[in-house]
Amino acid sequence: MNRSSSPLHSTPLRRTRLLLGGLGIALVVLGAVLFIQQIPAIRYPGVAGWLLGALVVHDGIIAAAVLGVGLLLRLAPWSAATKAIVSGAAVVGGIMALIVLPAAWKDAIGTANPTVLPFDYLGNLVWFELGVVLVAVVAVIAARNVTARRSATRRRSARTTCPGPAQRPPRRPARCRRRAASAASPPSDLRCAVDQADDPRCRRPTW
Amino acid sequence: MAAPGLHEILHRTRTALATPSRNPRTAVVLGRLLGAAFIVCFLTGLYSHFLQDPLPWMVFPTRPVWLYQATQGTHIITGIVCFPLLLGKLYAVFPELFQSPPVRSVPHFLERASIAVFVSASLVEITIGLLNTYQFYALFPFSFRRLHFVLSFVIVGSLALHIAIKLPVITRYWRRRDAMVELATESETVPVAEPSRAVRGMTGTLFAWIDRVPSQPSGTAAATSRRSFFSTIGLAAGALVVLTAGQSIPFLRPFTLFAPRLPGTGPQDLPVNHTASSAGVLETAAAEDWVLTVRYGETSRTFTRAELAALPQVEEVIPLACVEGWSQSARWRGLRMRDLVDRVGAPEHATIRVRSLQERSAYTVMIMPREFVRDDATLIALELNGQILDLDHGYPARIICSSRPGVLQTKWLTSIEVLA
Repeated sequence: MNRSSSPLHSTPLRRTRLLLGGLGIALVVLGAVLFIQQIPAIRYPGVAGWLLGALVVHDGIIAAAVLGVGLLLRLAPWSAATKAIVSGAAVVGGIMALIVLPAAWKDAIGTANPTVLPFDYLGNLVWFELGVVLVAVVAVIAARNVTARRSATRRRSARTTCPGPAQRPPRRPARCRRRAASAASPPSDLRCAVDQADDPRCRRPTW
Repeated sequence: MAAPGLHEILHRTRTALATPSRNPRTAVVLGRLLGAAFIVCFLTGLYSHFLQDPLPWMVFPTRPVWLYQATQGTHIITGIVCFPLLLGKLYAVFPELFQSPPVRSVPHFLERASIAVFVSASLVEITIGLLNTYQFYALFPFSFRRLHFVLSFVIVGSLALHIAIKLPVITRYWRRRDAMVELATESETVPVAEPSRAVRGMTGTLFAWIDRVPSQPSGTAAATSRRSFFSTIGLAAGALVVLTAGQSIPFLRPFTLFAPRLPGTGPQDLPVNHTASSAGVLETAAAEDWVLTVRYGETSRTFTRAELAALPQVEEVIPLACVEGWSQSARWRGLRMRDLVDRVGAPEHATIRVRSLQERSAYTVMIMPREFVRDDATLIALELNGQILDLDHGYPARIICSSRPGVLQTKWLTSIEVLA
């Protein structure tokens, strides 16, 4: 963290930080003043309940659920691509449910007039979630086909273009090993480097 | 500082939570999107707030007619997009919750406290905003408008403070190429070193199990995991926009599955907030002897609906745009406000006070500033889309003007008072 030689700790940056920090504190203080002005004391317990409740619901329930699903997903005997698709589908479906379910709830209780909440929110949500599952299944199948085809092509091209068997792992790409990285010299053949994309020496920005 | 047992648990929790998508680069990428979204919501929100509660010196633009429709639509759409962004951001930094020791120093305590306020206020702000679009007022033990307004300052202030504190990290991971090098060379993420002693009991067993479970892979697979993380957040945001924004953006209307409102529905194909029945004006608005009183000082004139209709009429296409984000353009026919107030000799710079038949409501009385009184597109509307105003849309006469929130488009008029 502390790199005194870095330009990050130069005066302009420190000035920006002080300025932003000062502005931030001023706005928070303004918020506090407005809070006292605008919110009657009788409402404080309700507001406090919401503010604390938000932390409890997020950190205790949502994050815990995400962690649990993540752990289960780690156990699943699936490829990384399949896991990514499944977790992506779960997140998209979950966030949509989080947003739509209160509308369904309010709609069930009753609205001021028929133009407020005019949809069948629960029904539409079920359709949406089914759609997400369908898209995820199609994506998993497509990803498997792509992986199969790619590894077949890779095996074929590796046989024809690589100079020696030493730099050509036949099936799985080499895993990132930092200890090995410092010892070996960078690979010269760029086509082969594709197979060693995990190697920090030939890694390119990928995201 | 902290007990060794606690230290151990916190440390191992952080280790267990480590995944490739939880790193400073992810936090920075999502953070700047979320920061921009917060600023957009803050500015559009302030605009909407001051349109309703102007400070004495304020003057507002009256054109283009779709100005408020655009700013408030943006406010709500951006607010909805904040859900996946905020959840993603909190996911990325979640291990930081288990820092050990929990508090290192007074500044560290203050920093963590400010983060707690920031996170909590942000979660509450977007949640009550969403629930308000559903008119789910029963869940609010407070005034939505006041708390939403007050928290916005706390959030934007906390945001500036947060950026100030994190600026070194933000600059280091701002650009993809630099971030790549940083992530490869130093482990800014969670340390992977083994804790010195084993934790026994339930917690120990749990952590041991988590350790045994094959963790997320590194290298390309990790990059794939980061990419899929961003894709997921993007897809969630995209789905939310496409399936809800049709209430504000006409071309998305066919895809609307979840918006709280659907333009094109309701009496005369226009949604309603307060019906004549809920406003308690069923009898007064339909009364035979209804007149509109226009007053300026000693001068006072009354107009029956027939007399209003006999005055020079104009037709304007003006969107009705609600603070809740939905909006719909409609064809309104009636007389210009400035023509009417000129009949009682209103001065050029006068503001007006408009009263509705609706009693005991926050919108019974509406003040209209000078710039709107004098605008061409400010009408006393008598007709909507070629038909006589529906009772639910403000029959016998209502206000419609350009670029103001729907709650200020007073319905069921009873008097207009010119204030010098």
